[in-house]
Order: sequence, then C-alpha cells, then structure tokens
Amino acid sequence: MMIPIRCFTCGAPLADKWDEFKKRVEAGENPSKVLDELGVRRYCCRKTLISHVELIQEIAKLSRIS
Amino acid sequence: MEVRILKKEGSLVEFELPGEDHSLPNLIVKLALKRPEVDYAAYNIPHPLVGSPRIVVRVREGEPLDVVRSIVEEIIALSREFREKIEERLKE
Amino acid sequence: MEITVLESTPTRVRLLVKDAPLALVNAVRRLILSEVPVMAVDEVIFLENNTAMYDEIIAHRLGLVPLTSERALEKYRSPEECAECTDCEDCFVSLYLDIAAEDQPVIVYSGDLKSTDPDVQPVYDNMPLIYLAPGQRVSLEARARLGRGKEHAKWSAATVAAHKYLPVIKFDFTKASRETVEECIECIEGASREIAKKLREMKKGEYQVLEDVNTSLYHYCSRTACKDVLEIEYRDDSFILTIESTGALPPKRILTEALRILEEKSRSLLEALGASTGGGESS
Repeated sequence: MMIPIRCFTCGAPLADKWDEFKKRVEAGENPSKVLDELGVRRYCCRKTLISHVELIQEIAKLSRIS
Repeated sequence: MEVRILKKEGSLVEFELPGEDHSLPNLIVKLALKRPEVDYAAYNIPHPLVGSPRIVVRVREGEPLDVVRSIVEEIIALSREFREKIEERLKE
Repeated sequence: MEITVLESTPTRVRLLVKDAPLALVNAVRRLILSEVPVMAVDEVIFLENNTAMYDEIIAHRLGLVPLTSERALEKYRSPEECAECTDCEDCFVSLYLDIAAEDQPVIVYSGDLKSTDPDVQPVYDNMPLIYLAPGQRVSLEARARLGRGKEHAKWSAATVAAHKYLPVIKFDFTKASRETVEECIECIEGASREIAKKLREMKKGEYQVLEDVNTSLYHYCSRTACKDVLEIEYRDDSFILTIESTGALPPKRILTEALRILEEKSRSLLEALGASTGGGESS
C-alpha cells in the first residue's frame, strides 16, 4: 500500500527517502545511483525502495462499504 | 536481578538467572574459562521460550561462589573501562 | 583494551576494539539491539478515521516511526514501570494528528505529528504516514513510551550492530611473476578498487583492512589468482564493531547506555550473589 516505514529485514528507516527517490527516478535518473546517494547501502533496504508500488493511491479511490 | 541457586556442592555451583538471555551468561562462562582456578564452566538455556539460563561453575580450589563474584566484578571493571574509552574517543 | 574510531557520523560509528574479550563485545552488541531503551508510539486512540487505511495499519506505521529519545531516557520512567502501569505519570508522551483532505488528496507526513514534548519528536519529518482521499479525515492521539528491543523491534536502538574480526591481508608481490601479480590484483579489484591500489603500491607486507568492505571474496582470490602470493587471515584479538542508529539515539549514547546496562545487570547480580550463601535469594 504505502511505503513501509522501515526495512523489513534490518529495521533501517526508509520512508523518509521515498519521496526523493520517486521524484528522481521518475525524472529519469538511474535508481542505483539515487539509492547510493541517499545512503541506502544494504540490499535488503534497496529492494524495498526499488520494488515499491504505491497502491494506496488506487485503493483510496474505491468507496467504503459501510 | 533474581538468582536462584540450584546446586552448591563443594567445588561446584549451579545457579539460574530468570529473565535473562544469552548476553550475560555467555560472558560469565567465557571469562570463567580463562581463569586457571576454574575447572569447568558452562551455561545452558533449556528452552528458548522459557528463557532461564542456568550457569555451572566448578573450581579447582577455593569457594565457587567467590570465584563467580570475582568474575562479575571483572565484568563490571571491563564495561567501565570500555565505557570510559568510548566517552574519550567519541567526542560529539 | 584499545579503541580507535574508524568512522563516526551522526548515525553510524565504526570502532576498532583491541584486546577486549569476544564475549564482552558480543554482549554489548546484543544489549544494544535488545535492551537499550528508546521512545516509540505504543497506543493510539482514534477519534476519527474514514481513510482507506484501517486503524491498525495506521497505528502500526506510527509505532515504527523513530522518535528522538536522548532526553527522554532521563525524563521518563523505565519500560518495566510503564508497560503495565496503573499509575502512568511520566510514562507517556502524546502526539496528536488531526488532518482532513478537502477536494485534493493529502498525504500525512511524520512532520505533521504534534508532540506534547519538544524533546520527543519524529526523527525524520518527511515520512509519508497516511493517504487521505478528498473528503477523508483522520484524528488521533498517539501515546509513546520507552521500551526495549526485546519487547518489539520498533524499540531497538540500532539497525546494524555487528562485530567481526579484523581482516589482515598478508602478501608478497616481490616473490612472483608479473603476470601472477597482475591477475591477483585484478581479482582483488573485483572486491575493492581502493584496496587493490594500495596493495599494488605496498608490494609486500601486511595490510589491515579497516575499510567497510566485505573481505570474503579475498578467500577466493587467495585460492585462485593469488595462490602463494596473498592470503587473508583474521586477527582474533581485535574487532571491528559497527553500530548504525535508527536516529532515535546518537551512536555514542547507544554504546554508553548498553555498557551502563551491562554494568547495572552485573552489579545487581553481585548483590544477589552476595546476599546468598546457601539457598536462593532474589534482590
């Protein structure tokens, strides 16, 4: 749904890096370089940012069953 | 900290530390094994979910509990030294 | 016991520790992950939430947000006293959120949390927490308390707490043919260009690998391209201790707290042992 607050494996805070990562990669930069510059070193953390899809934006459009 | 002494027979003492994990018992045992007066030292956690480590120390000479106390004093001295060195070396 | 600082940033510290027993370094490492207390949200009271994210999802995210905890260690009561408190004075910090989205979607960030204590704030304010579609509103009170990593990983003071033996590369390029030396250096470059360069300059000797690299590839090199020319060994009297903080506490404080906890536990044990001579007694 939304970006996990921390890496599942090591617990490193990741959510603070999401907005910048997304913006720069959408602008065309190489994701690997962006991750290096943001200081995301371990591959457990890197995979979380690289493969995240913000599905919450689709889900929020659906109406609630009340 | 709670200590339950399970066995105290001459040169051997076995005690339990309810609520503890590996950190302290492992340290006690490893330091014990370095001492010439210690004949046997080991710890065991019978079940990880019911984590109550039991430590056994057997000495060649002297009172086992005194040796254990001396080991714990050594731990206090080592951690003090470590902490002082850290305070010194890592200036903010 | 000698300690040399190899790297020190606000979130990360690497130390070379000499002549300390392995069990001591390991105990410190374990205590950092499980016993050093840190502030984190533990209870959330929802007044309104009609977003697509359920209460518990939001509460879970809030719990994981790192909160600055350095002053809190002195100000608030210990986890043992607060975890199941009946008198909860000085246990909790409240963080409030009350945001509504009008006709545009709104993303609620960690910076929007309003804390009653300026010393306990989210470490990072740009963490997206909640997504509000137009017309949705969330209003909540989050209560944070001190806790230990052994209770829940959100209360763990560090992300990385690792120690390893000091790797030392012993090599002698003068005793081999140029082709062998070149092949060997190429193999090393596969792992670390810097180190390969330094080895090339040194030509022979012992190189202590203090850089933050993984040296396991060098075993492969020492068996193949660098056979008889280079080998890697690990000094078991020296450790490289790496501590990476979540941001809640500075690394130096994490270390000193862990050592203080070790000292306290030992003193408490000493007291308990001193009191007993025959049967069992608790202190």
